Amino acid sequence: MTVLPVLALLVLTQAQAPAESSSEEGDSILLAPKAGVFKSTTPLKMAPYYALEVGYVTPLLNRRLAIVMEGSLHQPQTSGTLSDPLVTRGDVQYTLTDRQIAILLSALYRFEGALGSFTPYAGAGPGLYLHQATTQALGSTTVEKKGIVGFQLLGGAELRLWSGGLFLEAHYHFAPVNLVTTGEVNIGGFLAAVGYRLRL
Amino acid sequence: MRPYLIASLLIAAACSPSTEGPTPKVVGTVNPRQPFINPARVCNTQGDERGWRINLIGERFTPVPQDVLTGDPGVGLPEVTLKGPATLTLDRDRVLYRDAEQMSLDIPTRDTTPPADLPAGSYAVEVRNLGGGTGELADILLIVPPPTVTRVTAPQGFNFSDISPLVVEGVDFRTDTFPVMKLQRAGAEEVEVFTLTVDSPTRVSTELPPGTPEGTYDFMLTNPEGCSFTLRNALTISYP
Repeated sequence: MTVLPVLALLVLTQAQAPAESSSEEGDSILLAPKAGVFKSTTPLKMAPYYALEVGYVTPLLNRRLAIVMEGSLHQPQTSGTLSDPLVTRGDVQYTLTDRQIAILLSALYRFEGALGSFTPYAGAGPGLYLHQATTQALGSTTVEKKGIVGFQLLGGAELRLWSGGLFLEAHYHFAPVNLVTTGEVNIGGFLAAVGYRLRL
Repeated sequence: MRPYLIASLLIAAACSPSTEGPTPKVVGTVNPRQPFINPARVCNTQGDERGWRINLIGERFTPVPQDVLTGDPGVGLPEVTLKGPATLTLDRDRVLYRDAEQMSLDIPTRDTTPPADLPAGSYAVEVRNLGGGTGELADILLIVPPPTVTRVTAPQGFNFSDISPLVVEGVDFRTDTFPVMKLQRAGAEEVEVFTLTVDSPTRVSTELPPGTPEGTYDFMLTNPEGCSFTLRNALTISYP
């Protein structure tokens, strides 16, 4: 338990004022691994979320506009039992796993210096969501694959730390899908992630 | 332009849907009324309100959970289509899943609700797993018409102490099987008459058992697959 206060102190002492580097021209490239949890608005259960973000801080809007591309992976699952009088052998138990690989392109507005060492940001953009829905039922496995275009909204806050920033962010994904097993639904949802954003 | 074209092609390829699952194999059909007759015969009229039930034999019949992320989940049963002189995809509620190797099919007729007009002839049966492939086998179902009796006669008259030959005339008699025939009269026991020969699709030869009581009878002819026809007041028996 003594590690946490030490880490917190270290973070605060390493935090830099935003003005020190926000105007530098050499740190326009962003690279950020992130991890978190994703919860779909459907019955899919909460699942770990992993992503890698690559971005570019544009000269526009006094270097507050960034364009970022993110590749992410999460694999939520659900299971249940279905009853149908036309299935005479009894109830059908199933497990559905939806592996989603997303390629997201976002425009981010960074409120540099708005909260001291913290930089809030918000953005939005389209996403290409690649779904692989694997269903196991009655001893058989069915795999459906489909790519769909959706969009996402995101917001977060970054604490400057060393040559980058520690951040916490949240997304909302709208990703309509229409597979036999899933039905026609928005399989997107909410996620929360933490990560470290390097400035190169 | 080339990078945009490549990106477009990659996105199109990524978005194209695909499904991988068990591919069914169709082996045959069985009409429980004639379990040893292959292919199964099914009459295109009568039946109860669900039609005639037959069994479909095969492999890898695979229902899939359907719409499980919506508020109305269900089971996606294999889709069955009859292909012959006409093509008919059976309504979902006419397919009963027993296991991966057997399903029961309620074949609709002109008298079911809703009706279906399946012309007589040989049919293929196609099974499509909603989450997989499609299997089909030709000529495994024979749709047959119902028999119609137009006249029953006793060319040599009636003999109380001996058999009396009868000739049954009509249309769509089946020459590959023997129908069941009965004389019926209110207040009297049924009299079963045995088929001697099905001479042609329009003529059956049979005989009246000795000792059959006098009177006017209805004549009922029933084919083994289930369809029957009753000719009212078909035969008046009187002995000299």
